[in-house]
Amino acid sequence: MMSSPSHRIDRFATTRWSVFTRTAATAPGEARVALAELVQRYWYPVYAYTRRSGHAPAIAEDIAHSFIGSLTRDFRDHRAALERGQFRLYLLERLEAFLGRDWREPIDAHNDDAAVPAELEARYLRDFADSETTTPAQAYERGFALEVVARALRGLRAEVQRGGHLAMYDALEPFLACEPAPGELDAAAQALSSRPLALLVALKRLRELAGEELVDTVTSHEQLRAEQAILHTVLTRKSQPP
Amino acid sequence: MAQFDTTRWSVVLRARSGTEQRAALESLCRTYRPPVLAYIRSRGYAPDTAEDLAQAFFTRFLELAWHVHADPARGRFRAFLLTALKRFLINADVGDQTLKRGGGVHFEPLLTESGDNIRAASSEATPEAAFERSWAVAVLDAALARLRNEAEQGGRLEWFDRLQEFLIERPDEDDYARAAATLNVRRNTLAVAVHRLRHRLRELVREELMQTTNGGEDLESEMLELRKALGVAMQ
Repeated sequence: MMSSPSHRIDRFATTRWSVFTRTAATAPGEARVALAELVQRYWYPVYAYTRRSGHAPAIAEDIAHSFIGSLTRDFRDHRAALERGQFRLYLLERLEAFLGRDWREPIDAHNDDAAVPAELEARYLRDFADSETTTPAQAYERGFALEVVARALRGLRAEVQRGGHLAMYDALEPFLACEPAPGELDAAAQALSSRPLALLVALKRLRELAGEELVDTVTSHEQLRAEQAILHTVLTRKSQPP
Repeated sequence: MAQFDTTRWSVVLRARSGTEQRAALESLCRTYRPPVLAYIRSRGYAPDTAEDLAQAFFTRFLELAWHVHADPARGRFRAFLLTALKRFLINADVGDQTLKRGGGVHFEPLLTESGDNIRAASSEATPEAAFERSWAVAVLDAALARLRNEAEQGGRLEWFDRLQEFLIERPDEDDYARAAATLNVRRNTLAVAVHRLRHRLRELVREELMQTTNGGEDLESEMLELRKALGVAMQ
């Protein structure tokens, strides 16, 4: 059944990013919770940025930690960044503003209680091994896209685990950004003793999950379409040889 | 007024004569004396002779207004200076030039001019490479001097002196831990300060390079050359 226009409007009205943008000026407590949830999900692109800036792993993590702590402490002067639109752009703008401040200013020394996600460095080494010419901002964009994919894959993994088709998870990952070449899906299905149609359905679900991940970072259909286009661009670039 | 209209090299190219132009040119020559000296040393001249030749070169450069032959469309002071130096050395009568000091401005070695810079650059494979290497270090030195001045004005000289080494070499976690203990701050506070300090240094390097170019592609090309020469310091 097709969703009605009003249903679609409601869908975007309650995303984390919508809640934050609506309440940032008037209800900082509510806004902080929404922002903290989003930021906690997107540690990885922030880490990719600081790491690509040339810092050692522990130092890059320190800087990311300080930034994320500062972001949720005070966001009342973020109007310009909010006008950029999507959460992805907001986060990058705030990160660059934070890192570009006058170094002589005192630095807020709060004990940041945000938990650091596991395996940041292992992921970075895997994802950015051949990226010597990548700028920090490009690393951020790619890290953001890869985080969306990772979260979608985790969702799919949980679903197929329940259905007992875990092997399917590994087979689908390469096809998230690019359409399978003729015969590729048949070969994968044969290797899994499955039917190509079953794989096609699972692939469709994986893309839906990636879309659902992005919904929380936008406030409208237009922004969602823009984010999906960026995701596709970044992932397509990733799958091409350097 | 456009961003590049007031850079020292733009002033020289635009005015060609006059007090402002002369001051801009002298300032450039003073800052970029080390690469000239490194090139001459790398050509095999003894240190004293090289000093005399460098002095004679700059005297001629200013007195005879060689800069009026610079093509504003090919707007890099670095390239122009190197070409002028090569011509000077080809035509120089060394015995004569070494006696002709003064006659205008005498460029004493700057206090910040590092003998290490010139010695290290002189060991490069070719005189051109020595010039480029020393040029890059001179740009970095000029930016670091401004950064130190800013630190002093902002009451952060102790931090700057402690963290300066972090700008040139890539420190590890232990280095951060030691510096944080010395300054009595948390490691992540220090890490953010170092990142911001590097960011500011890159801005100042860019501003310094702007002084020797006419802008646009020339500036980007100079930044690229500098990154190649300096590595970690410019990441």
